[in-house]
Amino acid sequence: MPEILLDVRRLGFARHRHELFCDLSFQVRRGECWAILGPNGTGKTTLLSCLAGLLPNYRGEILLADQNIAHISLHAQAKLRAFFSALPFDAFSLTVFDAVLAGRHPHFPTWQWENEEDYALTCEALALFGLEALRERDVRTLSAGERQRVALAAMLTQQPQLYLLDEPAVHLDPGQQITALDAVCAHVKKQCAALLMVLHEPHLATRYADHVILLNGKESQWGDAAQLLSEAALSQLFHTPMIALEKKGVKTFVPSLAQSSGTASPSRR
Amino acid sequence: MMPFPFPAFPYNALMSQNLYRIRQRRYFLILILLSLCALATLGLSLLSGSVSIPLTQIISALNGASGEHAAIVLDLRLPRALAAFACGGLLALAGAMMQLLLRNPLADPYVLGVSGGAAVGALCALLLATPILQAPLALTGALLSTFLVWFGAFGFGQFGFGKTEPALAIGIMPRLLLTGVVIAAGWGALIVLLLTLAPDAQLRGALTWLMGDLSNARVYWPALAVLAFTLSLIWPQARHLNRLVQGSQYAETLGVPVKRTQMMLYLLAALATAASVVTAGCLPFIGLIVPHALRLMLGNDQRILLPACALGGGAFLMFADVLARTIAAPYMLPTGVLTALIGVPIFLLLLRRA
Repeated sequence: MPEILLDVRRLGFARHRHELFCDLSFQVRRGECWAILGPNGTGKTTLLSCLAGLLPNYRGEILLADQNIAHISLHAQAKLRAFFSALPFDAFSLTVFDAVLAGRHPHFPTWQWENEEDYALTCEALALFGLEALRERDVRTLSAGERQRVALAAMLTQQPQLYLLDEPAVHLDPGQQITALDAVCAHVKKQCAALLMVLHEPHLATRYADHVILLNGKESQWGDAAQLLSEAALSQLFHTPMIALEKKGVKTFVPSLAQSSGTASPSRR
Repeated sequence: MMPFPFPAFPYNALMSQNLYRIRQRRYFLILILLSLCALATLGLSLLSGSVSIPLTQIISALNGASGEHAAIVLDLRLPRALAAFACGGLLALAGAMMQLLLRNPLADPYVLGVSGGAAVGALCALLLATPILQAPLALTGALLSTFLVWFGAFGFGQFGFGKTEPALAIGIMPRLLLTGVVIAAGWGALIVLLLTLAPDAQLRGALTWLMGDLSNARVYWPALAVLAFTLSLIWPQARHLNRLVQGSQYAETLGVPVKRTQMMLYLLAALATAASVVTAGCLPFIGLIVPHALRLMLGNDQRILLPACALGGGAFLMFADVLARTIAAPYMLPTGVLTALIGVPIFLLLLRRA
């Protein structure tokens, strides 16, 4: 398996004649964890969808494990990458166990049923997210946070090389955010895979990501997290003053602690 | 509803290596039970009627004996029972496929106007007194209806096997459902128009047929053949359908050929509906009730649900037909009235249980 899992070359995407992003070029290697940060509407989800092969009309090239995704089938891609996105609406009943087992879908041919290994992986993933007690529950009766953990567990059973996560922390309480993302990141590191996730919380980005993409139209930046993340860069990105907090050598960023006195910051459009 | 005599999966007691064997054994048992159920209903269907024929004579008739009773069994009861089985299976399967396509447990061939189109085609043939045209016209009607709904919802540019356009992927299902409802209303108006223009002599026959009537269903093998064809094409896709029902984008990320599978669902559902409408007219509720009831009892794994729908739908309609023939004997009620009368309370009960 190649060292560079994802090679993005001059990627651009326009929707309704509006340029969302252009000329993004970055390489994701094994063991790396990337965070995508950016204000609403800058195309974070669109970028992930492009990388997942769901939006064919992008410009530039995307190479997944040395293969151009425009030339390989979604089934072949599904064995290489997992895509976790906003929760779908569950129209029909499905047990938690089956929802997690669904992640094994790309790995067996038409007439073959799930085997012992698939069941064992499912049990493992359920345990990892503390879902054993829920496994006979109907997914439609779960809370949003529980459903989110079920979807994360399903993604892990897919066992891809590259994990693409769209806002994995949404719906989760702070404790669950940390437990769930710790579990995902440890799993990714153990498998020597790579992870790319859209986050809204800078403190999660500084905790997990070694690389970041600050998505902001033509002013997008990407690279090493320690170099790129600064008060100035994040304040400009989110159009609100962001301040650094540091404790025991670990640094993170939060919006300025006091409420602003009514005047919008000068950088807000 | 009788719960099936299988224990819930004892996950805690058994290791995961046994889980899949238990599940497959359970699925196998369910199919055997449903087949036995269908066979028993077939037997009941052959036994019941205005003339009482003992079981031994029915068996000897099936073995090739001749006589007055054998003629009744072989020429009247058997074709009617098999036609009922085929139509019930086709409608239940069509309903299950429509529900998967629209990700809506309340979808039905009737909701999307497919059976309306088939009915208009078949009614034209009935009123023109050209029964030979009935099958082709009904199929044309169902296919035309399918294409109208499909074009209305997806547009001409989308009628291909390419990847799903993002903007459409979001709103595609509500649009499809709405277009189907509008087209069904259009077919309904056409049916009323045709009935208004119809000569009085044919009006009663047409009305009975519109309510669903198996008394003229002598030719059962085309419907049976279509049932076998539909099931053999869609059953191998069941694994993909299990993911499709969780959302088309999610299915796509897991490598399911979404567009191709959806197209297949729609075309096969149209074919199944047309075949059943030609054979027995409009039989309401089977496409809604049978998949729903089976889903509540068996869960929502399409690998088991699709064949179960074919068997269970067939058994259900055969049973409804037996009731239609015997409940007000010597009068024969239109079978569609019976399926609706059985279907409505069961549906309400299921909704309460769910």
